[in-house]
Amino acid sequence: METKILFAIVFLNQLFLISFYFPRKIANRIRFVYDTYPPSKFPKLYPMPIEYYEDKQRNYKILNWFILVAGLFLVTYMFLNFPEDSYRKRWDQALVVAFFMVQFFPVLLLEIASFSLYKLMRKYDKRTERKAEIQPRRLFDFISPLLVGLVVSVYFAFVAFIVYFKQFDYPWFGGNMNIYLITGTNLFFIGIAAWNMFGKKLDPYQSFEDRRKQISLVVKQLAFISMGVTIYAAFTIGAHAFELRHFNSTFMSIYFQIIAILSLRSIHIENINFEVYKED
Amino acid sequence: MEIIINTSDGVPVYSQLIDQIKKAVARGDISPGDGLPSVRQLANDLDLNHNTVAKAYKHLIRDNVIQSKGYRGTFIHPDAKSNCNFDLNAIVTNQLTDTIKALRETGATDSEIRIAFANVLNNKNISGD
Repeated sequence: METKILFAIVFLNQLFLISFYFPRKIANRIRFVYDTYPPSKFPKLYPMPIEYYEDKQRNYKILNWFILVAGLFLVTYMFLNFPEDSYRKRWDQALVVAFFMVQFFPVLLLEIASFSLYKLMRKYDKRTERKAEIQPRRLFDFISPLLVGLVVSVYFAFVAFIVYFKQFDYPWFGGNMNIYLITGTNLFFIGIAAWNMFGKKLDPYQSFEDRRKQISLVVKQLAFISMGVTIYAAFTIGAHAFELRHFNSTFMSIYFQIIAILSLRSIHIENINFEVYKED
Repeated sequence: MEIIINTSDGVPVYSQLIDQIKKAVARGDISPGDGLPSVRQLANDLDLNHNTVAKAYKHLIRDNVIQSKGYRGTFIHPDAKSNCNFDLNAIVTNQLTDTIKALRETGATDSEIRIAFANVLNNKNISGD
């Protein structure tokens, strides 16, 4: 019973954090930009009419409210109907994963919308003059060597942990597959970091300084997420071995909340140079 | 320090790049040993084809204004300051102007000069090729 109560509390927190707190924060941020930097004064920031953004924002809010209510029903249903040993069939874990994906769906839609807006900004940008910094961008310009060292140490500690664990011959243990999966995930993160550092600038008007801040934020987020993923992977294996599987869905929900907090951070709006979006 | 290119300018983009890097070295905005962005980074930042930037870098390496240090990247050459005033294009143009002038004085037509020039240029047996 205590496991169920603990899970319900943690899952409710996940619901409010990802489907209420962050959406509200994002919506307020967008509203602040409209009000402080209106299309009349900052036309380059708005490649589409203002109604388009208002529509998108409304849909985003509705979708999040819908998910929040659905989540409340789900947690109530799980609390009342799921047997104590549901963890054995991993129903609760599957639901936490599926629901986290549903919760992140509006963020994904928002990302896709901003990608298409950047594309339009580039299309409407008729300037023939192009500028670039003559300094090379290097990893340590954006992240401290200490943090990189920490990420690498966590990764090798995980490899050592898996190698050590192989001696116990647990039937459920995936062995080297864990190393392959974590390596693949980290390579994927390295790819995203490289794309941010050396890839094409999405926003054609973004100042050099803002781009550096943006890259720094993304690289640091990836570093923390990499450590989070690796530690969580080791943690679940350990929890399984110590027969703590009934806490898995709770741990998973906490893990997803940490991932959400890490990945939904953004640059302080006051630190962004909006002058670049003014009419020439 | 930033680099600015104009795509509507009559001057080829790679020449603009060469010119700006040389000017930056001459002004002291970038010093020997300073790193330069990778071809990929500069091409993406300026929204240019990678080959255009690679061509500019190749010319700058040839003129000893920059040097490539393999995986470590591309850097300003130690003798860049003196080498950046060296303009091989201007030397070639001056030399050819003198040669064409001399040939015209002998009575050779432009067509003959053009054909002979192409033949000589395509002749692989000429030393230096």
